[in-house]
Amino acid sequence: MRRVLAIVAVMALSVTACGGGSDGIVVTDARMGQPTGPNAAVYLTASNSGEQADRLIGASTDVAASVEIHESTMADDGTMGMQPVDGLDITAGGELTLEPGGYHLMLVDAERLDVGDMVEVTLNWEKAGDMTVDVEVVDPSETMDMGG
Amino acid sequence: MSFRSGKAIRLLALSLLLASLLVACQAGFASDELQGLVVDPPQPKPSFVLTDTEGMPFDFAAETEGKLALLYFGYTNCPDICPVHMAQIAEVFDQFPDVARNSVVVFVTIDPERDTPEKLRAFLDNFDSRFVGLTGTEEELGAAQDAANVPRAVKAGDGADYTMNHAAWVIAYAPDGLNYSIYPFGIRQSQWSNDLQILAGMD
Repeated sequence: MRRVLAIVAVMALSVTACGGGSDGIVVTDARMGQPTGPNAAVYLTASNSGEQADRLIGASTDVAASVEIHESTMADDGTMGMQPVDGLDITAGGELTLEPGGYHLMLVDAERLDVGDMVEVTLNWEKAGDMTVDVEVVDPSETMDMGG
Repeated sequence: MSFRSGKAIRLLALSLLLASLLVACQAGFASDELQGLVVDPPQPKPSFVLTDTEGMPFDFAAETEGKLALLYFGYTNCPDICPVHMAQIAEVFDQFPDVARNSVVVFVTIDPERDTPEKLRAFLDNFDSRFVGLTGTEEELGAAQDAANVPRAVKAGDGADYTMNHAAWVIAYAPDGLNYSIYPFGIRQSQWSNDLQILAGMD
């Protein structure tokens, strides 16, 4: 019995051991353009292999005063803007993509960082709770997926 | 629909994005055709004078005469779109110094309240110290946007962290002085490389 418990415990630990996963949500491609002004944007892809939907409701990091969730939008006249959103839903078995021109985590009052730096950002999921991910600082031209 | 229609821009930008997704993974994309949003008929260069980051007057038409001019209206608090455009252009300049030599990038702030000349300079120096930063009074900046045929930027949100809704496309004027194409957000690095080389030779 103890052996079974030990095995179960090890399995449970290993599910949460990886830096980017928690309760079925795995985060990949976490990146941000090197801050060139007061604010910077973090992009990532979240995949939810779990059986319940979830919602990204916030984030925090040591390298900025605060983090907000924003959506970039294009108006009828072609102009672009952005607005804060309360949260981003991810369905059970679904994906949530934060990318340039779409959703992003906006780091307000970001520190100066170098390309190649790895920064920790803690994501707050409504159900899964806090998840800390490593975000790579890249040249802004490389933040777009398959930017070549 | 004339190209001036915002709806046209939106539709074309969306279809361009869709088309670019199909070819996005090709490295070293090259073509004889411009990949940006083609402007038909080509438009003349606007005439306006604003103030550069050294406090000197900058006459856009005169200073870019005979050169490939890339004009953009943005702001430094912008976390993604503005830096991506500037970084992609800077990347092309790094790879093709000949193109860089006969080009001028002009970044006009539409947020003069927060974008001091010092802040503009520091922002642009992240990409290329040759990029020109321009500012001015609200009236001058409004007139410049009108002359360049872009909708005037407007403030959104309250408090110190307001954002700007602005025309997020780069306007390219070939050395012959005409605007043949514009570059909305979503243009790929390879498309910039392709187009800047073509435009640099149009004199």
